[in-house]
Amino acid sequence: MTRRAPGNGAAEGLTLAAALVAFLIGPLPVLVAAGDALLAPGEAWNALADPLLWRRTLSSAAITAAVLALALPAGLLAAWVLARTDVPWPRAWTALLALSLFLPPLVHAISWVSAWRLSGFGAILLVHGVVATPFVALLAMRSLASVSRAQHDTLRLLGGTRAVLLGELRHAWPGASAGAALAAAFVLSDFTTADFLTSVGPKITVAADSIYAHHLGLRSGAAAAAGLPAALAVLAGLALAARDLLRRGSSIRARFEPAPRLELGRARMPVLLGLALLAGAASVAPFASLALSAGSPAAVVRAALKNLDSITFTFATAAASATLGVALATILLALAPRLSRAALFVLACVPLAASPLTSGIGLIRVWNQPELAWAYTGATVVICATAGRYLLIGALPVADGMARIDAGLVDAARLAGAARLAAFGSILEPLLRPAILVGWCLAFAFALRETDAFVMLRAGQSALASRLYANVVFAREDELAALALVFALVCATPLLVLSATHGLRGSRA
Amino acid sequence: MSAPSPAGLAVRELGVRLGSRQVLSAVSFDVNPGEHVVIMGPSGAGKSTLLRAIAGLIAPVAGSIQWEGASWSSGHDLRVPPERRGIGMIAQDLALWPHLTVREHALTTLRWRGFALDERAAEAERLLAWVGLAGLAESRPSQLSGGEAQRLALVRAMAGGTRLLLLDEPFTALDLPLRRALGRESAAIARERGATVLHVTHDPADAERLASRVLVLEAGHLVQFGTVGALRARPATEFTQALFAGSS
Repeated sequence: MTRRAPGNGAAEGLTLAAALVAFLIGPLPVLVAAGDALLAPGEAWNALADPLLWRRTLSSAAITAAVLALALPAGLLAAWVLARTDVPWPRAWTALLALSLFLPPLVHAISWVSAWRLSGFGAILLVHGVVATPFVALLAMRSLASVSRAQHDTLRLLGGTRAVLLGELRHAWPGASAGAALAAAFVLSDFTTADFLTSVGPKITVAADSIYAHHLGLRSGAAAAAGLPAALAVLAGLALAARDLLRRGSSIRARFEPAPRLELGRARMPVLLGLALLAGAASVAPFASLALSAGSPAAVVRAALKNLDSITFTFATAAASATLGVALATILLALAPRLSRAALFVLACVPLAASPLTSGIGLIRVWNQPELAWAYTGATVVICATAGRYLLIGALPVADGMARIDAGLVDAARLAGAARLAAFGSILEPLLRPAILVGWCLAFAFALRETDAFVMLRAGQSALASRLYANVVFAREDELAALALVFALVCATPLLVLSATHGLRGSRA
Repeated sequence: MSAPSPAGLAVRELGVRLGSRQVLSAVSFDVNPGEHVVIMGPSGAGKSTLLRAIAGLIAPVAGSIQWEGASWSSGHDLRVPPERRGIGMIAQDLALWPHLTVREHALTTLRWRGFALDERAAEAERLLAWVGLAGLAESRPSQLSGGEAQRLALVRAMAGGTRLLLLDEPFTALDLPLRRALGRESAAIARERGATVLHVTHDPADAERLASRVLVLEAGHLVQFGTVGALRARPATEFTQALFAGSS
């Protein structure tokens, strides 16, 4: 009879429990929503056969393609400059770029409308572009952090600086493609940004408009079906990015020697100018224009005080959601066998690939039960909504950090007598801590800035994003900019945490 | 081949697959307690895989592994997990823990090896003094020279009374004099502690100086197992012949 090691049973039990909770908060609502489409096949088929849905889906796809065409080259180049050259103040530039990612697209949109009255396709492109570029840049920077001195020297000997640039950009590709796939997930499923930016002038409708229209018409099967084409496209993109990410090698060993930074020389001034333009459009401009449009500091303070309950609710639910999501992701990634990690990746992709409106419909169907009223009307459903949806966002840095850790370090711990949980606690977790912090801050930031899913949920109306959207819908322009600035400041908090703890330095974990 | 030895290591018909590739096929051999067996073979012969299977880090697909009469694995079943085999292993890249100091390496290993809290500090000091690392107790692996890092790996591998030491080309990255000196030191330490050693190397001089017997693997098959003299006198393959050609 096979004898089992003490500790292994506990590890397997913990993994199973974590997988179950992850499934309950993640894919289950989406699958329940999809189940509506299966239960009403006629309704779902009519939705899918509707030419209007395909026109709107094509419109979303065109916006996404245009955004990625801008964000991929800009993000890759910014990443290489920040991670691999001697550009001055790399941390400050990185923080400014990241700030843009931490602001909800709706806040970006409000800032550009307030200051410049921008609207239409160009404005949509700009707003999504300034959010997508840091997605690409930050993830590509993490890929570039694993370039070793030996790899750098080999490239230099083969073909000088040109070979270094081309070779290292290829090295950055796994991160960049993951960033692009994630950005695409948000742009394809966007609802509120396009709605707001084309509220004046010719209306541009997107795929999410069809989902919302069916939801308002109480056709939940049709709503789920309408979200299917975009969700499948996002899943395909995430699968391609995962394939690239899983190919990487480990770089966390006792003796990893990072590649030296290249001197910019005469290119320094043009590079600085380019970074200033990018960071200015992405982060400085939104804050400046919102501050100008808000009127006085007193107006901002008034808006903050008036919405103090909402700020507290938003902070608390986002922190709980990030903690739940990242803890689940870390346990699952650390303790599940290598083979089941692919299945876990798919599990985490499902809620992100689905439109937030579809997720919202699923959450209503799962939680709006008489016996679950306590959860549906309170913070629980909000925490589950964002913890499930952003499981992947919190898990990616952890998975990335884990892929960089030489498997031999854990093997050495096992041979030294450590059970799996002990090896995790003493070796893996301390080495992963920076990655866990980054994952937590990202999950926290995305939970803070969530807007579309909260529009669907009754309990989500207490969140700051919903208050802001209500101001947009009811055209309360007197306090729109002030509240958007308050929201922007709230959303910048995780970035401050990351900067204070050096999490954005491109460290080896 | 020697008769089955319940007191040592007994490997029977061992088969290991990695993905779709059969890396080891029907490998059988016995090692007596306290022996220093050198494992040689061309690259890709399955030498490291054999050590990892004995360590329990990969599951075989066939055969069995026994240590001192107790079954460690049989077929697919890993009956004893790696942490309960009492094995020390030094791999080529050493796999030292980058976030722990030299002292913490010793203390952590002793904790996992079941030493009581009040015994650990004294035992750690003794181990570090034994390999000449007492003055570097607060250093991290990145601050150590190649030879110091090897000694730290040896401390970790031997801490807590290891009885089977697996060396997977541990000294390859060092210059020849240091490599040979460390090889001698490790063998002496293992001998002093009565440990059995399985030592993968590409250097025939290691076999000449250290091995009680040499095991030759080619393409996942055990092709010869015997003393250096026996292998030199009757090489079974061209590889074995080339290994000891020119040495006497």
